[in-house]
Amino acid sequence: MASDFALSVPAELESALRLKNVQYLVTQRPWLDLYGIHVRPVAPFGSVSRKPYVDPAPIHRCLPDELLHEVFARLAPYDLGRASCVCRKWRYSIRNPIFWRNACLKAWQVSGVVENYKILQKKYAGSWRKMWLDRPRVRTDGLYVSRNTYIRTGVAEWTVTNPVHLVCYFRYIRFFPSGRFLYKNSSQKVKDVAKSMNFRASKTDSVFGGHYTLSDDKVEAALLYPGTRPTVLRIRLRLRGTTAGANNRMDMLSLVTSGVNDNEFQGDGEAILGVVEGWQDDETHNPDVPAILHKRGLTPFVFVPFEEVEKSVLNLPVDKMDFFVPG
Amino acid sequence: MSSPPSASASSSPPPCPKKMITLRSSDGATFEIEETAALQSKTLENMIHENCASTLIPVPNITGEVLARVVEFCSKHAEAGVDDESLGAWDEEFVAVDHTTLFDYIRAANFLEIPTLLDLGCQTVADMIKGKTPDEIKKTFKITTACTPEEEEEVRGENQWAFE
Repeated sequence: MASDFALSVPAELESALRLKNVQYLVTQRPWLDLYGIHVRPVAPFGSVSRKPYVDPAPIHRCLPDELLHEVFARLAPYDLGRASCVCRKWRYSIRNPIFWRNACLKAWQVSGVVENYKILQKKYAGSWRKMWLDRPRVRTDGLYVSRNTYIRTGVAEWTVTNPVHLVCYFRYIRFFPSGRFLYKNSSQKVKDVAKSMNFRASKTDSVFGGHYTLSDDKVEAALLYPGTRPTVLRIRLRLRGTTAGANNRMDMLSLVTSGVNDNEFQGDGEAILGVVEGWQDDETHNPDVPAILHKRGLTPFVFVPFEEVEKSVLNLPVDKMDFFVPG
Repeated sequence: MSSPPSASASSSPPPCPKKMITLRSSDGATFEIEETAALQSKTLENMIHENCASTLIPVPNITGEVLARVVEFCSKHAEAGVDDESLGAWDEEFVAVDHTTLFDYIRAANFLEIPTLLDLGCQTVADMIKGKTPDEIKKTFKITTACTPEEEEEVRGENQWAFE
């Protein structure tokens, strides 16, 4: 103790000395804990003596930035979004508007390049990324699935006197960037239907094709059911998403079936959308086929990307279903 | 320099003498490549047209190992009569290598301007990224640069749409 020096104190000051001693007893000396610890000095940022930072990842050491750019150019926009979260370098590389310009021009190719540029300047302040996030678009990398249920009475047997069955059926829509879409109404689960939703499907798959248009967030789609009494199915949908840019929900605004005149279409349903554009909900051009505005089975569509088709919750059987999936 | 044409049983004309070009890698190894195969590379093609390909061409930033494989690639793709399927299968085998070698191929393809190899290499890496979550991507490519948790959250918020 530093205060350990001999002091001859006259008796009258002894009480004062006792006070001084008490103070010395509780003094903290925290710097004593630091002695003996080796601290390596770090040069401030920008100083010449600072060691250059070497990124340990092989991809960054071997590939220069422009080649990393080439790799990113071959990724789909959703993969780019996920790759952004990997590290700072990737986040800033993927901010490059070239990627988002290509993604936007592909997603909204129906509008045409010139129109897209105009919209870019007018609504999105020249930022392609903003357009990608904020402008509603139909997703083409999976299926929109609407799960509907109804109850039907069953046959009474044994102890079950008033049986009811909960029947579940699905509407499937797959959109293509060219303006076409495929539709299927079936009780099969998503994982079984996904592989047949393409243009090579056979007649037994009961997949029907039509055309659609997108204006803002409203989708107008029409398809023709072939047969002796051709029926046109008109669907109006509104796009929304659980988060900005997700575009993973569609609300069904109306579903109408009506008839068309034989001489109104060319037989393969290609121009059916143009024919039924502007029709009223109760309009039908074929007296044999009445116009029906369907009021049931209009649950919102949930988007399921192709890579999640196998593990989607929509595959669960009726008794394990979660009714709150379309949020 | 020209190899004697082999006599063929059919009445087709004898093949023209094949012109060979010599390349030297960064570690001094030399490789011969047929002119037709060398045309796959735009850099070499330019040199051939300007007639400076008769002597040894140094390729300073590519090692011997990688250059050998690149020469193999060009020769295979310049071969006539190979159907697309078997070529595709051969390509797949070609890129079934470790990451460092794959990146070397991409760099070599970039330097020699071989569009087919560049496309193949970049597409392979892109396929490695496709469909993976960010954590999986980090593991695949051994990327360890740490972001602060706030930054990670910020980035995740920006890109939440990619996960929905």
